[in-house]
Amino acid sequence: MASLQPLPVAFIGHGNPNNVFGGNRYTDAWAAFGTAVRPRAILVVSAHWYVGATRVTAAAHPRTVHDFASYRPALFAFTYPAPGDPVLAHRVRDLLTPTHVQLDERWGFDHGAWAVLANAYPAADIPVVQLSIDRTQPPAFHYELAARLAPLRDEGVLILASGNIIHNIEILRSDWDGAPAGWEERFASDVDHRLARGDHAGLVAYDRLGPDATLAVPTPDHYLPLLYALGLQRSGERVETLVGGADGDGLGMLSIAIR
Amino acid sequence: MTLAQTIDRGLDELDGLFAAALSAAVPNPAAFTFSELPLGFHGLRDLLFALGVLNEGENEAALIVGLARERLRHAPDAEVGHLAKEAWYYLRTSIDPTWQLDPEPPSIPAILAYLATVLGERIAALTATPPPGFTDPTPTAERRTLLQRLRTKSSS
Repeated sequence: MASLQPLPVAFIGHGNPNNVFGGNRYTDAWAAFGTAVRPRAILVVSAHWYVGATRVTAAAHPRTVHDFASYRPALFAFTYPAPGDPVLAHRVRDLLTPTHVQLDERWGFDHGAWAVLANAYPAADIPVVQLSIDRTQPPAFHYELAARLAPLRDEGVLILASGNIIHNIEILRSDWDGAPAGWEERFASDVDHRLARGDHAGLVAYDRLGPDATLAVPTPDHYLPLLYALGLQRSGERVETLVGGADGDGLGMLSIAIR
Repeated sequence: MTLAQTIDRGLDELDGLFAAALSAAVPNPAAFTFSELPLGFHGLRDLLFALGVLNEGENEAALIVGLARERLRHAPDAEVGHLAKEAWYYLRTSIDPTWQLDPEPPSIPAILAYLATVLGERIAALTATPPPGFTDPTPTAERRTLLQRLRTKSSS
């Protein structure tokens, strides 16, 4: 199925699960994006499916995964009943060959997916497939793997990567004030500038960007989805900020579209 | 000794310590003989985490070193520096959440040795002071009456 215009690629900073209920500048931006972009299917790369293999959800009716603790009961009752798309799952597996991709019928939509999708596509009527992040692989692997998914953009599939460019739970939980002042703003600004000038190499080698990056990306899980979006950027395409900024407290929820 | 050999040896040692720690941590280790413990746990390590014998960072560090072993088994020259870094972060912040910046490189052998050391200490502490098992506070006579009443109810 070919479309006249390739669909954009999105990287969404999903924040915490409570964003499923909307009502802030981030969720408003996701909703506006969803209103403007209507794909036939969505492939989500979520920070919360971070396992020792590359897997793709292949169930016809994936479950809603409540992959957290200590949140209000309404979150555990929430479901996102979008259908799966086993045909798309097979297509993803074929595109990623020779990387071994496991078809997975046990995982469903985790909160990295549904907290965003419930705002962008509240009707839950667009099929959704999730791709895991193989945590055993180094950053360049993910950037290169994403590039192999490029044909999907011409087939009506929205590729939506969901993470956070700044995600430091320990700082989020604590009152620690030992971090250098302004580190979040500096790192967010550094990422913005590198995105604007297409410095993919610098963003892939994020662990060489100094102490601010060390604090912003203490573990790779929430940052790696950004590399999936970058790996799909085509020549001549620009990065558009949907909503930006670093709100402090160890979290940065930059969201971008590449088109 | 290669890194892969070091990891193999260290994880084998930890597996033995996981089993010993579990026996020391549960009040009735003989139950393992009669039950497959249908708790959905992934292994001894995760069960120790559930029991609080390993904290989250220690559990995650051991998990990640296991992933490094799988990667090195598949490809002896595989890059595992990113895994070492992630495991080191989890372990060091489990000790002190504010240990956020560490200019020295991570060390998988040090992670393995640390985990073996603290597990050894915890096994000794658990063995010296076994956790109490559950004791039913209800008198035997009441239990007898309950069962008899339920039998009468179910047969009527």
